Amino acid sequence: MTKTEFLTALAEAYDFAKYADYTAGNLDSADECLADARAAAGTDKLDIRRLFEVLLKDATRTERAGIMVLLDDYLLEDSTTDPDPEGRPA
Amino acid sequence: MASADHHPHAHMLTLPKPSSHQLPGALILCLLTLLLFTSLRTCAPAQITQLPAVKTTVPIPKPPRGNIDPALPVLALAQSPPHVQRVVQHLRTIKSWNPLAGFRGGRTFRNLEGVLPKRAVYREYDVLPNLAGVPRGAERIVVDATRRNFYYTSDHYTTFTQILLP
Repeated sequence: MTKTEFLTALAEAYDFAKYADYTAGNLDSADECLADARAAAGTDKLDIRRLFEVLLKDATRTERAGIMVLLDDYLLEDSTTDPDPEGRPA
Repeated sequence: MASADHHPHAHMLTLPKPSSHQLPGALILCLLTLLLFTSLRTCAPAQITQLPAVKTTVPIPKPPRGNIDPALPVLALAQSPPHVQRVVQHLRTIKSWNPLAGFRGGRTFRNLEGVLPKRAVYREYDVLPNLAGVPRGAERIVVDATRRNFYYTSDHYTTFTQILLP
């Protein structure tokens, strides 16, 4: 995957067109669009699952779900779907 | 017996042979001419430098403020579009990094592509007013916060033109 392909996936995942005239493959252009997307979401970090959904769009639904399990368990620190997977009492 | 004056082709013989006593005079004349020509050529520059300075009414342009990056095209502020001039004039006067009222800007521009000079702190500003629900477009002013250099981009940070201040 090239830089431009990766940034194109980012642009699709976080809908850069809503914020500015995104220049394909340009890091500074993506930087501003991501900052505006984060401000619009009102969060400190954007949900990375949206990016993986775009990157894995050629996979089947079952494959995607399996990969998301791996991401949740081994790579992503905060899960928005299950904030406490161990079910500990509050 | 006919003389030379009566010869039918006598008018063609117009250049009489110089006599031997005329040759030194012609040679001296040639040398004097050559000497005069040579002395005029060597004196000419000295005469030009001695001319008094002429006062000109055309003002000498001051060097632009800040540094010019030779890798980027430049544009005088007066020649830039009016909406760009307005934002630059505002940014020249402000103490903080707040944008014009109704405009967006002030975010740190990180120069990740390295198009602008490195080792500088930049901020980016819109040049058109912010309208709710409308994307910001592609035009920006990027300011070098340290040296107060201004850069204009019309294609969302792909290419830049440095704005020269008066």
